[in-house]
Amino acid sequence: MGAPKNMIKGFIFMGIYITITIVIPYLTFTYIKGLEIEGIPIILSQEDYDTIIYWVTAFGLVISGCAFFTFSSPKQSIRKGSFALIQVILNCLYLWSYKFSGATDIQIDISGGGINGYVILGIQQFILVFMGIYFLTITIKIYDLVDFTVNREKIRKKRWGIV
Amino acid sequence: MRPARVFRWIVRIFILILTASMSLVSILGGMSAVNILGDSNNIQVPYGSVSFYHTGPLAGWNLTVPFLINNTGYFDLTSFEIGISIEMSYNLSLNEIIFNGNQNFDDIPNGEILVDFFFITGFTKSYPLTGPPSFNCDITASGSYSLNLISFEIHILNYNLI
Repeated sequence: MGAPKNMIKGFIFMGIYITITIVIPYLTFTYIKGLEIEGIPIILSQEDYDTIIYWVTAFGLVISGCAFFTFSSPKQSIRKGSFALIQVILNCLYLWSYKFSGATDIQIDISGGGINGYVILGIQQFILVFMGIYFLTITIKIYDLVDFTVNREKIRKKRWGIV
Repeated sequence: MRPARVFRWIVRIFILILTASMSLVSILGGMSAVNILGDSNNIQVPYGSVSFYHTGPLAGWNLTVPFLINNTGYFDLTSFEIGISIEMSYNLSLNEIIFNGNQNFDDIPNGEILVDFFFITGFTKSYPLTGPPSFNCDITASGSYSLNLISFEIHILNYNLI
């Protein structure tokens, strides 16, 4: 695949990652913030909301930038392998950011209609299962990187059509 | 294809299946939350009125909290538990917790409605009351959703019984 096509591929995947890591979480937390149960508004504190959105956006941007370099690199190149590995590690940090931004135990206040209280949503188990999947992904990315390095000549010959 | 790439593809397909499953669970979990929480009739605690009978300082009392949960989501609601702590306030400034306990309920399969009630009974010991006591309670409802991957706790504080 030529360089322009690789660039387009990089931009497309960057767009996909922006949607997955920034847009969808942003819309989800904004939805939770304005939710009502039995007509009673639930309140995700502005401070919590800002912290969650800050970390999600920060890591989302770095992951999306990394996705561009990963997907615009030539197939089976060391550059692609390196960026892919960095990207997966960043994905782990992104998931972990849900934990240290407080998003794994979201506390939402309930106030109104003579009822006061709060709701806690725990998604820690969910995050841990995803971390397990990412561990497997990191393993395969390291394997890729070693493979791309060891078989560098063979890959280059195949890429340039040298028999 | 090089043998190294065959091994890689096998592991990648396995990871892809895992990731796709988890993504599906995430999407269905989110849609379940929208379905359940989007309609205020799906969760009604209390469902009707809370009945609390207490006739005097040495008499028995009982509390019934009816509730309705309509699981319109895609997963079963499991480990559903309601906890209540009742505090009696008397003689203007004295408080005492007269009950603190939990009750477990059956799992609520997706698409089904659970109409049940939390019922407790007890006896108050002798108090030197100078006036009618008042009773407040803290209600906690907890459970798990999305194949037990998401847990929730609902805390209602200082709900006035009498």
